[in-house]
Amino acid sequence: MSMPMHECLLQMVEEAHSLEDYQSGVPRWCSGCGDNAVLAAVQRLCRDENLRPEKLAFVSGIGCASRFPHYMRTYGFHGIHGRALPIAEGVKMARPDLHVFVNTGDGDCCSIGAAHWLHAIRYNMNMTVVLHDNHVYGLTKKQVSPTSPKGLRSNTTPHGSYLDAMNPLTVTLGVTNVSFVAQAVDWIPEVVHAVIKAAFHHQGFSFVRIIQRCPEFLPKMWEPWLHDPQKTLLLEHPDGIGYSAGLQKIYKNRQSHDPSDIHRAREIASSIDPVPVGILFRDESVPCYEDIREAGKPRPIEMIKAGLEAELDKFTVWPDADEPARSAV
Amino acid sequence: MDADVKTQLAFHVLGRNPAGAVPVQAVGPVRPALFAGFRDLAALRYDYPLVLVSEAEPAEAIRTLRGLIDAALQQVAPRGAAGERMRRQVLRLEAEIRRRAADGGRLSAVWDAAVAALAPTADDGFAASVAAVRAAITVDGELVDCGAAAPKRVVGHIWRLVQERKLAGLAERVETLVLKLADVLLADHARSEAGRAPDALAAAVGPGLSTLFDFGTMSELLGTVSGGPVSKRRRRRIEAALAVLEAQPLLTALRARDRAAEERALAELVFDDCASALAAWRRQRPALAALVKALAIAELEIEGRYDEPEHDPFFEAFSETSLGAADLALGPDMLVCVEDAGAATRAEVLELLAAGLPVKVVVPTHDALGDPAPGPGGPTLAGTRLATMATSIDDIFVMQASAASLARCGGRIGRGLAYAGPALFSVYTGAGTGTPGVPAYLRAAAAVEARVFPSFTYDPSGGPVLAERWDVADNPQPEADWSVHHFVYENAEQQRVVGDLAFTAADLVVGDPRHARQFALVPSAHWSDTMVPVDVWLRQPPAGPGAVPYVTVVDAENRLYRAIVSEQVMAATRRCREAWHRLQELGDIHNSWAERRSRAEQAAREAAEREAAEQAAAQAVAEGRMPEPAAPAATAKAEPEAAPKSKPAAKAKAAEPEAAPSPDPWIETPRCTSCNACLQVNARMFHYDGNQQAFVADVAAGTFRQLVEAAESCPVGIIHPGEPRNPKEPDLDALRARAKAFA
Ligand SMILES: Cc1ncc(C[n+]2csc(CCOP(=O)(O)OP(=O)(O)O)c2C)c(N)n1
Ligand code: SF4
Ligand code: SF4
Ligand SMILES: [Mg+2]
Repeated sequence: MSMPMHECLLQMVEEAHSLEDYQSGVPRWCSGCGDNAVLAAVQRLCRDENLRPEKLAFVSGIGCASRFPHYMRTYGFHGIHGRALPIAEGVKMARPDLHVFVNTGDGDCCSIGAAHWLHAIRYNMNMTVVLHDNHVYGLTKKQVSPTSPKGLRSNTTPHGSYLDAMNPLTVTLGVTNVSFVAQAVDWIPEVVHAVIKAAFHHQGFSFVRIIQRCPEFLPKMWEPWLHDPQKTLLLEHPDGIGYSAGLQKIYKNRQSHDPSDIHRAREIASSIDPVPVGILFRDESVPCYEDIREAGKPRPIEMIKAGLEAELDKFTVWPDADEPARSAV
Repeated sequence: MDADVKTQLAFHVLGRNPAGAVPVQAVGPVRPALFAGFRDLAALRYDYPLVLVSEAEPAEAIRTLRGLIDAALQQVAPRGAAGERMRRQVLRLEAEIRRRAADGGRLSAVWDAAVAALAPTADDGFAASVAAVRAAITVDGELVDCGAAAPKRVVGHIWRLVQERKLAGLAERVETLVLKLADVLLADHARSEAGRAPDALAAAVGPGLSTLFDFGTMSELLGTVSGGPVSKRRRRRIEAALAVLEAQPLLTALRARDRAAEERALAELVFDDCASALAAWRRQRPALAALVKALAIAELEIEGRYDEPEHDPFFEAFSETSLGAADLALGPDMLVCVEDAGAATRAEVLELLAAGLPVKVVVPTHDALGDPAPGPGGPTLAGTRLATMATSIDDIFVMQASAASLARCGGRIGRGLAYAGPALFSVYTGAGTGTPGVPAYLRAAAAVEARVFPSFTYDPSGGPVLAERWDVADNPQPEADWSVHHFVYENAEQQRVVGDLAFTAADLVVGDPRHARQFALVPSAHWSDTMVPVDVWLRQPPAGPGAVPYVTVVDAENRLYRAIVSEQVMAATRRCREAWHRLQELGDIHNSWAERRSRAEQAAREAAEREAAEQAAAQAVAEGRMPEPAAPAATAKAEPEAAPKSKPAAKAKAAEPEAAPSPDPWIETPRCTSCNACLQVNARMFHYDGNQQAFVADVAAGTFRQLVEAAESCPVGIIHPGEPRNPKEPDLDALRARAKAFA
């Protein structure tokens, strides 16, 4: 069938976008910070897909990474610590037509926001979630995070941390309704871009962990990986992402992995040396919560007001109806 | 030549009544022998009455009473004798309902009436049995008996469901647009000076918290928010669109779930002739154009992307003549039900369909064979052509079926009604002239068996090619020329004779009194070997002299005859078979093109194998060996193809030249992580490109030291400082040494 008339008319006034259309302000991240790589990749995605800036919403919590929305000339919501995901869910519920992105740190997502994280996976709402995992609380100047390597000396663990690091990938892969999990390292821009692009196109909750260097507080952590390409494992598959010839020349450690194989995905995800990059898991068949719940249905103001009243009434302490009767006795 | 044979032949070719043979009229009504078993249909558990179930998917909306009762019995009947008894009781009720079905009514009501009627004579446990089964039947709906009205009622029922569904989508869309457009105006008010006034803000917050805010300051603050008010033009445009969207009676009825209003609005879309449908369409067209326009404007306005210079001229020029197929598919469809009353109606229907309006047409045909043709006589088959002709219009959905199979057609009918274009449903009811004493249901079923009214669907939305559009599977024995059935009878010696009878078009004609003149009955005493069954005759016309084609019939007392068939009826039968062959091919049965191609391929393959074998033999002889038996052609071919594959890839690697170190500084830009480190060292020397990745923009803008420092700060080590440009730069030796790591 032909295109609806208003779509034709929209295309008539469609204009191409450049990178600058998505840029806002000068990032305040430290020089050399891996967050810059994610920002560049996301802005390129927006331009390549010619996304309308007013159709994008970036939601974040608190942290260095969570400053992300400030640098996008789109809708943004710099939320509160750990609460990026519920805010993003609300945005998606009210406006399913928006492309929702979430930028969250390892502290934001895996520590204070962990409960929201698990349920967001299970809700499987169509959004792209980027975990900027720098293995530390950066903004508050070096406290241990759930993904910090064991033994990390930090302001909160002066004698070194005591626990093994949590692996956000295997956690995600263990939750009901998981539908997309991928990983990239900030220092291979081609992979960051390809993985975020695949995540964007996935219909559902796409979880992308970026191994992100924090040169300020953990300058040495990923040095060995930066110097030895063998320590990076490129996952390849017709259903995965592709790699340029130039990249394949440098990164020879490659392995075929079918993203529909969740068991193998969990095994691969457990490895840190070599660090796997590419798509670990994808299942397009999981339904999205917003589709199940008819999100985006506009409601008349009276209905919204009535709903709010009803919600607020739940917290109202009403005088006990029996009270006067009892006191009379 | 035998005298019998002579007379029979004279009849067959010349249409003259042969002496010795009995004219049909003399015997009284005859019927095809295969009908012999069906005298009292009411006792038979056939597909009628149908139950028109509302609140169901189209494919589930037409149920049979039999199917509902069987499913319920399956669920509640206990095992063993008790279950058998329950079954008997309920089937008695089923027969009673079937007898009452002609009067219509809802299943629940007719059920209760039938139970009440049977109760006085019923045996123990009847009430409990039927109540248990009744409870297991969870659907209800109007009963439809087989007859002239069945097609309209069945298609009309699904049409209603489809319209409700389709318009519910549109109603929801309209409702959304109305709310969002209203929001645009509301937001505009909130931003206006009046909306921002301290009083208005205080009113918005409400009395409880009014002391907490300084509304004067808030009002001032809000005054600084950018974005002007909605222009007068835009406001008028939005209000006009809103007015159109809110003034749609059918959509409003659906939104308000106002059944009566919906009923009224839908009734206005049903017509009994083509002309009034066309007239109504002309009246409604401007309203549809206005709706389409309002929808498009609303969508653009809500996106905030109505562009006056671009879009104004478009909407100014938009009129009812601009409506395209997609627009027509948007609104409700008209339903036209016209009985096939001859060539004039058929021409009108075809014209209406070809006009491309949003219209669905049901044409019940009560007479498949037609009156005797003027001149030679014999059936004209005029009533069978409409659907086939309609398929040549190409972009309309066409379904041809018999009323006997309507119970199975819910899905197909639903598809046709949901199809975004005109649709035709041509249904043979069997309710007109035909074999006397045979119920309409049986006649309708027989017309399909006889290939006179074969079942087919042509669905242009199936895909671009015929294979995806045609479906002829819903015919009995679709692979065969005719459907063939077992037939058992007792001969004059009271011996059981078992055989197969093909049910041909001639078998259908023989029972129709209008065409009695075309047959002569031959009692079994006069049967001879020169008599050939019609199907055999058509497959291979007998070469010998004196052969005549016949069909087997019975009279009212079930006495068996052979009816010799006139050439006129044979011609009609032949035509039916040809038309059926064409239909078979369209449905990929005995596809002559494919068969021809596969024959040609087979021949080519064999020739290639022969040639290969001959060459191998010649080669062997030349080399002085014994020729070996030829290898299969396929493997011989595969070898040379596979051999050269792996080579080029290996070569590509080796050809890659090793880059020599460059004296100029450079960056492996595609690997840049956009980390800012080099730009921090010198933002004039290093720039980002359009992909936010660094390159050396100006070597002269900095020192060799900065190049080396940038290289050292680069996390991925992709900055190559090259050679210093200024030989006088201090500490060059040390810097060169540091730069070595990045050569
Ligand atoms: C409720 C709450 N608790 C604690 C903080 C302090 N706080 C701010 S950022 C942060 C950790 C950020 O770490 P991460 O999420 O890994 O982000 P990064 O800065 O590393 O990018 C903490 C604990 C806060 N802002 N709010
Ligand atoms: S502290 Fe670390 S994570 Fe935060 S901006 Fe600086 S380098 Fe980046
Ligand atoms: S230092 Fe390296 S990675 Fe960072 S911006 Fe410059 S070239 Fe790119
Ligand atoms: Mg962190």
